[in-house]
Amino acid sequence: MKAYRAILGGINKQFYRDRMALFWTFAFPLFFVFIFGFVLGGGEEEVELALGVVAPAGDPLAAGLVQGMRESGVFRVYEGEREAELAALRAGDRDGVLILPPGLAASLFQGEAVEVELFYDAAQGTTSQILLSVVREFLVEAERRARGGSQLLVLSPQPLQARKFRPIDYMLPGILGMSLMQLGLFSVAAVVLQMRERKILRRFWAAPMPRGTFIAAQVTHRVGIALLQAGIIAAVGVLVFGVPFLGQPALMAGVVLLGALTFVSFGYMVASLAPSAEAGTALVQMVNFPMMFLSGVFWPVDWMPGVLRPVVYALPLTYLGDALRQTMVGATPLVPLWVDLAVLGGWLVVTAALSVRFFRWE
Amino acid sequence: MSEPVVLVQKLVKRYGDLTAVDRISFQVDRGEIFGLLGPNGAGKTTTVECLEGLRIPDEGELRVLGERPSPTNYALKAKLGIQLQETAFLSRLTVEETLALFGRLYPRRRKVSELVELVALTEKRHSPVRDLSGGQRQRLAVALALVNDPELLILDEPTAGLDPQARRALWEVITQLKGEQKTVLLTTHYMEEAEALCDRVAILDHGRIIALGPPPELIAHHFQETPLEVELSAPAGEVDFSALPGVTRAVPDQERVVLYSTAPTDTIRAVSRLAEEGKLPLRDLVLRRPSLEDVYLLLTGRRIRE
Repeated sequence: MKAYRAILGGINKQFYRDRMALFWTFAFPLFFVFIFGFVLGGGEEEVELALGVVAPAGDPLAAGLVQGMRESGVFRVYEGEREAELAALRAGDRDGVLILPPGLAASLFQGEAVEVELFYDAAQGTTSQILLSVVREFLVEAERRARGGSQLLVLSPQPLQARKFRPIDYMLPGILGMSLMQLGLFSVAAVVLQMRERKILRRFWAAPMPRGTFIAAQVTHRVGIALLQAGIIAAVGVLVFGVPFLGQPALMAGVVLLGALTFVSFGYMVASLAPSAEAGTALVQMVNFPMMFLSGVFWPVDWMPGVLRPVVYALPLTYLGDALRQTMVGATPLVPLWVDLAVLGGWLVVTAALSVRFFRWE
Repeated sequence: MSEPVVLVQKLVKRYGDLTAVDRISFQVDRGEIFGLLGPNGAGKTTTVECLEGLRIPDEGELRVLGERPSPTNYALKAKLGIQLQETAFLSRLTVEETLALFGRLYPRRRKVSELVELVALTEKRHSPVRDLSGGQRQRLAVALALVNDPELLILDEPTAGLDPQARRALWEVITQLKGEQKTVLLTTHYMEEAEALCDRVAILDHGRIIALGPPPELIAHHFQETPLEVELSAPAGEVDFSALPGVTRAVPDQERVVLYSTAPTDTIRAVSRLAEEGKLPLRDLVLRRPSLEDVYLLLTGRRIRE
């Protein structure tokens, strides 16, 4: 235990006195956060959907619906004639136009299906997605209340999460996952790549302690860096860009810890399997790039073409990103959280086993 | 106390097809400075790394301080002071931090202030290791070997690559250890170092011991003759050196010939005569006391060079 603490202290000092290492570890991931934060997600303005509504006069259900929409704070509601509103949509002054047919209330009470048209600008991808889901929720809620015989349509819907969901909110957990992956891959592979470090190791082997002590200290050191890095990225995201943080620091730290362990172990596996230093560098990049772009760090997994799906669902970063998005910002799960954790745990066990089996000390 | 500190019997270590150490046997007694002498690749480092438990021998028996060395014999490792060939350090730690860190890996330890004093690094104790010169680093490596106040020190090429001044400073450190009743096993490819420091040496060549004993005895055993170095400005041509008076052996070595003579004065006279007659392009003639270098040259026909 004394030896473990001595070595951990030594390698910590060695790391934290290295300005280059500090830069790449802590400043570099923040570049991503700032770039995406300012360019894509930026600003504090909230999305307010400009919705044109064409409502039949004197229909109580339609009137209630419009009032609910006005009061929700999600929409800026414009009421008008069909043609005028559609023209406004074409001109870019509306995000969507909702056409409520005449006799809405009557049809609904008789149990007839009613078609409600929603026009939107297909070019505005993200906005349209949000618009569709929010409007759909309104209609469902309205129908439920109307049929349930509850009081007329005073809606207090909960599409607030959708409203506040900006690209940076989506991306921040992904960037965090990516930097955990790269910390594991690059810093561990460095053990093999920097042959001079081997000579340092040899001197430690000559001392009266098991080799495991050194490994344990090294893993602790790297996981410590990972937690610090995660804390910094999360803090910048929350404080600078107002990323909505769900406030479950313990759960999130647990996910970060599992992710860090998995990728440190992954790095050891790469180092163990690489026949030479050059091969090690190439192997690290071969792992790094697909994971960076196929694991939903920068865009949702659904955008990926179907042929790539099996690959996407095999990569551990997919699950780490998903778990972080769920625990940090409460994003819609790709798979349930326990599946994420189970898959990461599985990768951890497999890579650790391979590392133990194939690791060469010299 | 009669038990040797190090006992090596018929040690064999192979790397693939190469036999690095080929059935060598020797022992080191308590309080002795013992040298393994030989050129690079002779098997010195492999031998000491087997003794340190860093390598596992293919054949043979090893006893170090009465124990069998192995990678997991921590009780033995705790009693050994080890300096590896080219030690690398955590470069951003200071001298003092480095010694303190390694001290904490051992059950017994010497004070850091005592160690830096011993290797004359007191002024550098707060400098990061990366700022040290080669000689200073090497002295730090020796200080690390002393960090656990060991009974046996194993120093692998402690002065390799150092300038003469730094080398002499380190010799002083090692001589001081003798005053502390430590046993020292060191490797070197410097003949004069072995002669200056070691009580006994084993000369290694191609993984075998070709001579073993105290340097003066080795020299006396192999040489009743006095070596004469004849330096030439051109190849010697037809001259038959071994026919000169007193000469028992002539060993040509590039632009010079070493003549081993039982009657040096007669030999010198004969060489001068040849030079005067223009039969020998003589540049210089040096008579010296025989050294370990001569023993090595005699036994292998080569000089030790880096």
